[in-house]
Amino acid sequence: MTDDALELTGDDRLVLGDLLNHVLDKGIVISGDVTIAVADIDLIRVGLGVYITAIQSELDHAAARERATPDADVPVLHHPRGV
Amino acid sequence: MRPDAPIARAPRGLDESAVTLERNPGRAVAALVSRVDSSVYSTDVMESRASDVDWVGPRAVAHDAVLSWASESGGVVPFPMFTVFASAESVRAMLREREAVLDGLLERVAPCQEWTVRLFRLDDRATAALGLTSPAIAELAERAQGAAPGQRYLLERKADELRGVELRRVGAESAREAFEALSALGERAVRDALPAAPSGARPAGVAVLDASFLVRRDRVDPFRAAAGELAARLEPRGLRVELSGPWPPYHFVRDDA
Repeated sequence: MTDDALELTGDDRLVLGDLLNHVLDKGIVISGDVTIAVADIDLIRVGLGVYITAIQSELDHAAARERATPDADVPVLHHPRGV
Repeated sequence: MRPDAPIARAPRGLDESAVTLERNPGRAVAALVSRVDSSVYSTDVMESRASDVDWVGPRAVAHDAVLSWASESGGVVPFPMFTVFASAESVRAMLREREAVLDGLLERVAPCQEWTVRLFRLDDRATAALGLTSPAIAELAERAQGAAPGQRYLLERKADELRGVELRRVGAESAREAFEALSALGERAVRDALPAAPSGARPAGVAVLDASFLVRRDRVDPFRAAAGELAARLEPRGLRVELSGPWPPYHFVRDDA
């Protein structure tokens, strides 16, 4: 990874916002002796408007980078790792 | 997941912890589990840090990596992030109680991937496109050019008003067109609520559609091709199509989806 690869691009921020929109308040909801905490924030704005700093030190950058595939008709913003 | 999932190949979970399968002997569904420190993942801590992107970001990436692996390794019913059980036994009890529902959901989503499509109206471009396509606005703009200052102000205001109405109409119609075209290629489809439009400059555009589709793996190529065709069709109207995926079926494991 080069130094400038650590700098999050607009696309990386979009990708993280997109990821948070998917994982934070979606999925099956159950009750019982379970704790469910859901972020009470306007998630899509994280992706579209907020300049997220200092993520790069912790975030697995490879997982969050845009990986548009050459045959894609529309660039794909998310591609899971480990698949 | 199914209890026979190849769990040894799962990626690491929260805080690099190992991911294991919690199961009941002879049952059809098992739970992917990471053991966490209850003081770090208490309700208070999680709620206080839920909007801290530095804290949530890497955990969201880890959560999604495990579920993405699971989705492509036999199928998974996602739980929301930060679903914490007090003990392994409480996980097993939940599996016993919810087996029929979880089994049915797993059957439904296992052959599929989730794809998300967002549509943004880029007002500069959409306005330019309207100038070409809306005779009423073009005529008002032309009249304003040649009018005296007072009259020009009124005409310009009228043109702005008409432009706003037209922009909203173009956005809504394009969103409906996109949702209908892509729904035809998915097993299920949902539209998420759109955020309130932010004030000031909107370089990313105004979101007019945020929709997710449950797409069978053997129909992903036609789905992506359709998204490409849609992008080409809508771009001249000043709309941008954004496609993301494949995701685990986050949107499609609730009763209403």
